[in-house]
Amino acid sequence: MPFLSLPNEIIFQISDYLDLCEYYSLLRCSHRLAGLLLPTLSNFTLVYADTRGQRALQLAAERGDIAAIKSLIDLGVTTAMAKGNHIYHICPSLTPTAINTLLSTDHFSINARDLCGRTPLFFAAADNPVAVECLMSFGADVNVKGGNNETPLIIATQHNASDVIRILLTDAKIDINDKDFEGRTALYWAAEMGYVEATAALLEDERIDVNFRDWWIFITSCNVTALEVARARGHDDVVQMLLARPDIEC
Amino acid sequence: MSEIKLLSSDQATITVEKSVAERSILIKNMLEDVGEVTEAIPIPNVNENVLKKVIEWCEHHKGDPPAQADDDSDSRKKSSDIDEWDQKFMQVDQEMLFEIILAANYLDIKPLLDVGCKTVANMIKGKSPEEIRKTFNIQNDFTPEEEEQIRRENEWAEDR
Repeated sequence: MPFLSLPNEIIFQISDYLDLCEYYSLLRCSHRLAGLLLPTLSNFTLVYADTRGQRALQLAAERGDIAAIKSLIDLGVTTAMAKGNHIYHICPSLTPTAINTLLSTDHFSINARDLCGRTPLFFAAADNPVAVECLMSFGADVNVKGGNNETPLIIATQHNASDVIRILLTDAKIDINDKDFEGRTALYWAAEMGYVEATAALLEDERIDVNFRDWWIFITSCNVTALEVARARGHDDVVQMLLARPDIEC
Repeated sequence: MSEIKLLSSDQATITVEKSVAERSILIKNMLEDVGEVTEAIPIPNVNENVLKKVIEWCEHHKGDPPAQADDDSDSRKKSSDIDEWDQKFMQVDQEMLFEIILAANYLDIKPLLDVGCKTVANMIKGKSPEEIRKTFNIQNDFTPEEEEQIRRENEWAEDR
């Protein structure tokens, strides 16, 4: 009377006492066990929504596996995890097809926000120009503000993602000089970090204000321009680019 | 104190206290249906050895409060705690362990079935697939490609 001759119902009952790790080990023992246990393996993404569930979403997004993302959403993973958290985990690697499909589900909307107020555009802004373009085509708000009042444009700048910057700037409504809560604009961030590509992309836009001053309130330093911060940080390339502007005040 | 007789699959007659035998919902319902019986009740799926073992368990647990109607349909049962006497009781070879489980399932003795399943679950805990196969003598019928595919599709379940 070997283990494998136990009827399915008994094997299910035994598996009820197993945690993810052992359950996963057991199902990899043989075809029959895999056939029995694989279909409900994903229930563990609900039990550990904020760890395994997130990871499952992330991996499915990286693979571009829309069916897997959808079935996780249908299973309720996104509802089980901390509010809006799934956006953070899937958006950096989303493809346009995925966005298209996800928009048709209840748990993903174009301007949905996570706990820090960030929308899908925020996460795509870091390194996914294709997704940014797609989200904008669905009407994503480009002037949305995160927890530090930062905008997607500022996020893109912080990642030196010049192609994302150029795409965002195609939106007529974008406020290119919008400031985060310490009064830093995208250009200021580019100057501070010494990002040449980001600086170039921002300077291409005629709406740019090169002479604004930040307003650090909580830390004493304030009233500094992008040029001054680039100098202070020793980013000579950026300093030269700013000095080449006819409208720069030195 | 009334007694009844049970007839095992290998034709052994075992006399048992009625209240003990009624730990089995199958027997309990049967007795309620037919009323008084003098002849032995056939238990065609269970042999003498296993039946005796099951009765031993029922004797020890005859004073237990009736199993509460807990449907653990939701959350996983998690805990595989087994009381000491039951742990000792379950220290049998695998063959017997599985036979007890099947008998408990057939005779509808839920608490015994639970103890049996927990015992098997504990034998699985902390083991890799290869170790589980070894424990239960399971033939690995996967190709390396199939194994790889399962891992790829369920990477989230892998320990990192």
